[in-house]
Amino acid sequence: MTDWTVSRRLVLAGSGALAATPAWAQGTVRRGGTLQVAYNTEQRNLNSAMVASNAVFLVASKIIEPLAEMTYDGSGLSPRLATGWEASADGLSVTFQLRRGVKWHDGRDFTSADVQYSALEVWRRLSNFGRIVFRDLVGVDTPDTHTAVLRFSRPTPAQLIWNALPDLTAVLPRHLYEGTDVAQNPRNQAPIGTGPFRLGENRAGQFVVLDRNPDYWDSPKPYLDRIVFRVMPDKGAIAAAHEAGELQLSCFSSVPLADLKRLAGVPALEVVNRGYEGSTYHALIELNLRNPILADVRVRRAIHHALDLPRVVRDVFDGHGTVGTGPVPTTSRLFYTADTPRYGFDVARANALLDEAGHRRGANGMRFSLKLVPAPWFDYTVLLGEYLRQALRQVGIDCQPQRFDAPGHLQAIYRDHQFDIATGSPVFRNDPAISTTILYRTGTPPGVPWSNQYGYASQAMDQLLDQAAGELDPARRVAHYHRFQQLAMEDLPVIPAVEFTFLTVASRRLRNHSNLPRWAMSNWADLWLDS
Amino acid sequence: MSLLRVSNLSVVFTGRGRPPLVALDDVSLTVAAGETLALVGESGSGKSTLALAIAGLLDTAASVRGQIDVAGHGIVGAAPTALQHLRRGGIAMVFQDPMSALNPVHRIGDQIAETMPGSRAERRAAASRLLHVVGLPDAERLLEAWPHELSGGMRQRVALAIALGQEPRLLIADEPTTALDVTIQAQILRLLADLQRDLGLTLLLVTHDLGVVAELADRVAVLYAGRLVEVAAVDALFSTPQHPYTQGLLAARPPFGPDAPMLPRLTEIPGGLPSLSPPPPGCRFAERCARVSQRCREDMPELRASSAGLVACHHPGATP
Amino acid sequence: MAGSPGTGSRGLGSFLAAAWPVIRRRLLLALPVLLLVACGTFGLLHLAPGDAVDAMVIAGGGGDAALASELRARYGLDQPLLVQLSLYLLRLLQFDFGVSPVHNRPVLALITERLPISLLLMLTATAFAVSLGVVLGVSAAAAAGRWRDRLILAAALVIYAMPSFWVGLMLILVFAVTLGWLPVGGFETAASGLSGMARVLDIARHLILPTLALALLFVSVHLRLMRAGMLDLAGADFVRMARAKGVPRRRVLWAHLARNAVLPVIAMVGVQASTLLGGAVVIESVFSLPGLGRLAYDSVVARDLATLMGLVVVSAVIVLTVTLVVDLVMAALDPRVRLR
Repeated sequence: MTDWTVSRRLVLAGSGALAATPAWAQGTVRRGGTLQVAYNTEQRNLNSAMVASNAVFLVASKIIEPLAEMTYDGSGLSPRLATGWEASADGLSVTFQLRRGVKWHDGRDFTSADVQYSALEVWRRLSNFGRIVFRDLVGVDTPDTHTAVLRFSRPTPAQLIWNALPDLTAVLPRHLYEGTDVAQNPRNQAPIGTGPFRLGENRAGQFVVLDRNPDYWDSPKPYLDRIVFRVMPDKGAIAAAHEAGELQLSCFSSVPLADLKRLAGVPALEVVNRGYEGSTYHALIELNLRNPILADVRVRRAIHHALDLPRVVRDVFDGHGTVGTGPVPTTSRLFYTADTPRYGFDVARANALLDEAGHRRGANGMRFSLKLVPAPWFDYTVLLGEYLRQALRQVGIDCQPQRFDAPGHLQAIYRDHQFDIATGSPVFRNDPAISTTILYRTGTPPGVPWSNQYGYASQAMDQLLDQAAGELDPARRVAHYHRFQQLAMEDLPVIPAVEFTFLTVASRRLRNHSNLPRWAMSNWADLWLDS
Repeated sequence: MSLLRVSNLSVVFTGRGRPPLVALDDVSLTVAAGETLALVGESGSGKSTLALAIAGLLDTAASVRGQIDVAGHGIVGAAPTALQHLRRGGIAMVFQDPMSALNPVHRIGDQIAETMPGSRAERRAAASRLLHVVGLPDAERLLEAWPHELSGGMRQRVALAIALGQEPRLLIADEPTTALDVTIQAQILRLLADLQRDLGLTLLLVTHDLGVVAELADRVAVLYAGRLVEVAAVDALFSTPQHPYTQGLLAARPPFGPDAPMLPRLTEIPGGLPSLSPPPPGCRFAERCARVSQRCREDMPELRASSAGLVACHHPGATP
Repeated sequence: MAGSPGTGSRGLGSFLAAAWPVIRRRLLLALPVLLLVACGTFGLLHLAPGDAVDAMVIAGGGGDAALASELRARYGLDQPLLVQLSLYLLRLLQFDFGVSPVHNRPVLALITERLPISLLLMLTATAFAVSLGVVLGVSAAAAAGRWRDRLILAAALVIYAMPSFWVGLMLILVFAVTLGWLPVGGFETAASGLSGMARVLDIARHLILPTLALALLFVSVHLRLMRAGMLDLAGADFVRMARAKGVPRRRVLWAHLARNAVLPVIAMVGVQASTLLGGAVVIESVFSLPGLGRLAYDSVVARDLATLMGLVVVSAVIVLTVTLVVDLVMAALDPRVRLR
């Protein structure tokens, strides 16, 4: 039995974008040219099969391809190295038909052996999230050179596999990796893939050049001759380079928030907030339930009531965000439900709840004091921390901020639990089972970042999540995850305050950009530069 | 024929935020060619200012009125290039402190030869000869030496060599021995005397050391608070000083002799120099003078001929 | 008599020959210093919360506990601290800086590929800062109290008060964005295919703004030091002496006054060597230059201990070298200075 029905239902946010595609996108393509792209966070390891992160994908996705890519249109998935996929009814195997006539950049043929090797040795062993999705993968059969059958020891929802295809199925060349220590393989720095661009000169700290792959399977793409990723660690410098016309593109909001308005006013540039729906972030307020005050759900709800989130969206996020309603973002049409408990901005209600919980205001007007640890990853998470301090003061909660740099923050929150209230930024990876439910399930040992280190333990939640994880029927699986969102908002161990994605700054000469839900992490084969 | 003629010279220092200071007031004097004139006075009397003015080395903060003629060339208001001409075959100067008069980072030979004409070899030879002239043997080694490698006396000899290198007619020596050890002082004074005689130099010797004056000078000019108070031949001045200040100077001198040629800076004359910004209207010595009269306080005495030379006093004469 | 006259003979060769024992002794003294620096850094870095694996997990967007402990075992981060330190020092004594877990490359290779860029920037910036500081200092001193002097002093004060990243961004805004004369950043044009003289010119064009930005940090210090020195010395007898013997005004200013006043400025260059390294971190970030400063910053963020230790040792070597070179230059410029 095929599971096409499910994959067709993977309709993602922004599907209207296709209809809204302007006329020029269908016009005559101009070939050639060099695209200069800002590269804010240089990565040494470009092995995207091992490390599924935005910064790695930005460069590596043009070289190494996954089995399928996410799209805005009806099916939600567009074939890449796989041309078809189906799952068995028992959930114990999935079969991929692989594309023929695909060559690795070194001239070898791409075959099912490459998928077999990547799945067994890399996805299920080394990939940070592949280890979750492919946990029960026990073998890959290759009945012919272009068919790969993944076998699981326990029933695995096909829906989860399909949702993981864009992020977690980059295929590595077996002939270059087999028999080596994958993590140490020099090809991680100089990847060989099947993608539309080949790695050219790679000057550490300066630039990475990608050259057009003339033997790309999707001829006549790619259109660009060359992509130069320029390593620019300073965001202000990236904004200046845009204005000077030295860059045609920067992704993942890599200009300072303060410069965005100015850049939007430059006629040759456009600032776009499309193209990131496939990796929607939550500005999350994390609460440490080990603190007896916060263990009381009334206090947690009071904190939520104390927050004027529409104002946060306006002031902190400059309007580039949406008020969060639950652990699944609105951009996930498949899993999102609006039917969750809400805690609107209501200072009186917050005060009443806090009083009810027995926390009267003291002589200084304060009820109790919390240690606030804002996450350093984004401007947003830092600013949200500052907003929290001010907003909670209004309801008599005194916040003592403490800041760490990135590794220090991980250790303080997720290993040592040295916080009462923190800000964080988990990303929704297309399926709640990949990186969202881990924020609510018990049983993750201390030290795992972005997991439930909040001291939240609910049998009901654990049971619900286990049920969902073993559910093969797509509709029922979705229903379980709807219930999950409701329960998450009833118990409110963390507050998914604001959903946000990123912004792209692009030259108006750039065509066909931001046309996929994870566009910055896609292969850019159809991208071209107008004269 | 006088080589140096100073007429009605006044020097006023003006600085921002401070009242102008009258360092020299209406000073006139002449020095004949080949003569040695000693310029005597205590610290602050203006003698160094006069020396610098004659050498054309006053800095721009000084406003100068009057005339200075050296060998017929005007110094006051002269263009830098005109002064430059006088540096060769005209005026040369040696300074008080040989420790600071030589540039610490230039070699001795380079400093002597810096402004000499001719090729490198010629200048080097000339520098070497000059070192011999000032009594420094082993010139070849000294030419390569740095100032800090030399003793004070050697440095003053080098400074003299530099001055002589300009082939001057007028040599101004500003306290040339004050900073030196007693034994070295005698050597340098003898050298100055020898040079003056052998080269026919006109010497303007600035000093507060009457011992030096007695040894070297033909004539003496005494400065007090920016004004000349007495000018006389050295013998006349020592035997019959006319101005009460000069008399005070001589009286304050310890028994004359080679052991103690230095004056204990006029401690015997009560009081100190008057303020010169602005100076008092009458005689500037009035407040310290035993013979002071009402006239002295109101009317400034001019320099007039006296029995021994020139004196500026309403009540001149021998010690009572 | 102080010393024997005429010991100095001219020529660089003989100067270096005389200085060699000093150089050798300094190098020997540097070894214990470097060892201390290495131990101190090691301790300090371990006081910071989180390790390289935490940083890697962040870079990867997450991961489970087993993966993290596998990584820790791979890089020896699970060993006791003292074992890690002694292993490191042992390797260091063999000039082995180890392998960076973050970059997956030998630390020595990482450093040597970035060292030339940093050294070039430090050299050009120092040369520019000293030259400009000296010229402006002399110019201000020559006009002491007049409008030119006041203008220079005011400008120096303003520049001194500006943070260097801001200066950098302003320079970019004016010369790269508005005027379009110079590139925004980078060490050279990416994949330009240039070689030989054309490449040298391309690099020079890219270095103008960062050199200026880094140099401006120091120009005002040099300028004020120079001006103060000039004014201090202006009344010195040797300056009068020079004028008295007919040295032209311009030569008095430069050969006599400036030649002496520059000595404290040169000494200051030695003192500021470490400040220069620090300033380079910011400038290298703003101008996207792949130098040591940025490598250091990235390594702190990534808790890349191996690279950091290598960097600290190399920085210490640089500072010691600069100090030695400055002392040698001082000895060459000032005959009163004796090398020790």
